[in-house]
Amino acid sequence: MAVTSGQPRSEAVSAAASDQEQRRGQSRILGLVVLAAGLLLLREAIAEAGESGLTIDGPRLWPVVVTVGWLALAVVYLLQQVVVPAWVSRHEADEIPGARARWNWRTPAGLTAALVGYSLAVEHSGVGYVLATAAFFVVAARLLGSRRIGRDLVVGVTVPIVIYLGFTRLLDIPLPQGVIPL
Amino acid sequence: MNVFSDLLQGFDTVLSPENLLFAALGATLGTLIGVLPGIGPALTIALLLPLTFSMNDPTGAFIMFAGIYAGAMYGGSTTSILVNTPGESASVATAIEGYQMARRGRARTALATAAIGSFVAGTISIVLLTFVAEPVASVAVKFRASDYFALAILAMVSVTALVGRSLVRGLMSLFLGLFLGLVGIDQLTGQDRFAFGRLELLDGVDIVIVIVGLFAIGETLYVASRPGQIPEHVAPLEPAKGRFGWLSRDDWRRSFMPWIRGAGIGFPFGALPAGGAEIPTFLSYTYEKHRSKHKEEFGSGAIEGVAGPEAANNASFSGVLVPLLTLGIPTSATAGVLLAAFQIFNLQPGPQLFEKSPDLVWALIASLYIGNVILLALNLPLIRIWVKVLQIPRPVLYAGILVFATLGVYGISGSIFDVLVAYGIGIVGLFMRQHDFPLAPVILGVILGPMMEIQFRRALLVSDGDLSVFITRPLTLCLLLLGVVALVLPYVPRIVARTRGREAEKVAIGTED
Repeated sequence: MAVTSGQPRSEAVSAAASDQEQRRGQSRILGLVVLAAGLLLLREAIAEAGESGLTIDGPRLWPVVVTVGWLALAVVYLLQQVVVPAWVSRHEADEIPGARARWNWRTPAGLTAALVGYSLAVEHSGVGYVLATAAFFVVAARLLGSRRIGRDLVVGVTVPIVIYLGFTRLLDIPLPQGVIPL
Repeated sequence: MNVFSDLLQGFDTVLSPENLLFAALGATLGTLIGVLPGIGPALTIALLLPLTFSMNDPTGAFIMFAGIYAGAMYGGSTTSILVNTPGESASVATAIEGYQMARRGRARTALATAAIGSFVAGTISIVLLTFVAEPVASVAVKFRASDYFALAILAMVSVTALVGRSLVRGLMSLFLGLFLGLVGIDQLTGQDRFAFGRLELLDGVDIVIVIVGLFAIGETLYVASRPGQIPEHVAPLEPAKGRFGWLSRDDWRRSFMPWIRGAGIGFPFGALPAGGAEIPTFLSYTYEKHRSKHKEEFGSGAIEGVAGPEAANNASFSGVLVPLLTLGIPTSATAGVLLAAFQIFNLQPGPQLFEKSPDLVWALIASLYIGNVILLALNLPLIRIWVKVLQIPRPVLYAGILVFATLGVYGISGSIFDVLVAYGIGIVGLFMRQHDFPLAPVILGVILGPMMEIQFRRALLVSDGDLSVFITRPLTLCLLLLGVVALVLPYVPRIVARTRGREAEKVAIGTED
């Protein structure tokens, strides 16, 4: 990790070590999630196989093979994060610049919520594509750091109108019309 | 008919005013989207797929795709040079020297050598494709199910082993792709798998949904998770000077051979089952660096370091078309989207494509020539417009990417469920980026996984359930052994270094598409 100017070297090294440890903790959680998902999928694959039997040229073999492989890899990954034996190269273990451990999860979480709301609004709210997209655009730009609401509104309204007209009139691809009679 | 008359026929089709318009439109749209930071050619084509839905004739659509692809490649190199944000790992090598050139006031020169190099290498490689494709297709007709199974294994394993720094992470990405590829109705028996009782999942997870999710949604969420980490500064264009497209006589002299060598490296590597442009671009960069008389300039803006990798990048795409068109095997994410595009028009690439749809194939090859010319004629003079696109404020840009990503999936499926699946895959993509999991193996798993399984089962049906079919047929065995070699090969430098008591890294090429 690069030592920033003005920062004492010992502090930078200690911050990097702390980041590395934090990152390893995140990787362990990820490993556990992948392992749990693998177990659930294997259970599903075995349940599906139980219905029609597991034959080598049948449709149930590969789901079991793939989920067993998934599980095995999840176990190896988790072991790499928990036990880092000397024979595992420093490149196999997590040796990622410390800065990556510090990440802001609020913005992606907010964006995800906005995306889900947007997609549901497009189809189910009755407001239509243009209004839903304009509202989403302004919210997403704000979440991403924009503070120029006027500009975002202009772009946010113009873009979906152009898309809507282009798709429905030129390409014959229907988009929900909603309340605006375009 | 011979190759020349077939190709002439292709040109005859392409050179109609309507198709030329499609080519120009494709090149312009491709550049417009491809120039956006973080967006590579695969995502560009995926986002623009809905534009072709209203076309009845696949020829026009594929001519447009050829233009989109060429434009997206050019757009990607522009972003790499001016913002140092390559949209795909194949542009990373270009960014190393290209951005340094731009910082030193030679942005126009870097853009020109990239564009002209792409044109030169693109033309050479399309000529090679023209002559190689049909003979390979005639050989491929003799391939059996077990060979296809082994070929799919080889392609997946070799790409997985080479991308990213960790084989375990690469294989985990591959298995995620294999799982996604299994979702839906089994093609041979009609039984559903991993549908979890949802009717919407019976059709499976479309490759476009996976690409848009991983590359557009995932990239945007990743950018949002790291505020202040993405460079916003666009290197300024210096005033135009010099003749012949902004290159001085010395620039031409220093660029010409790297272009030719880049084409020579890019095409064969692209045509291999490992596919992709990452290996040839880095190989070209390393070769030019060792060979150059201006070694001291490398790292601070050597023109050879832009000319070679860009040429290799372009040439490798024509190479990737060889296994795609002749065997139906896509070996890169972009080829995967093209395969999806073929399937939209009920066309299946493979040995039979040359027999069943020769008009389309030769029109596609001819349109690659045309796309190359249009790009050179159109885009260098329009460079100021592309620079303006790059200056779009990041919040507006990424909000726009989310809007277009949603539209891309909704336009294809008309289903909000699929849009939500794409968002889910985007969240997975965010964590994959955070923890350094390569993305390309996911795409290959989704595309090649079902093919591998089907061919495995077909081979067993033919052999009456006898598994020895995979080791008794020499070609199958040879391909499987090559897969093992591909798995071990990246570790050879480390093993050799260990035996000599030194530390070394696994050979790894890029981490992206």
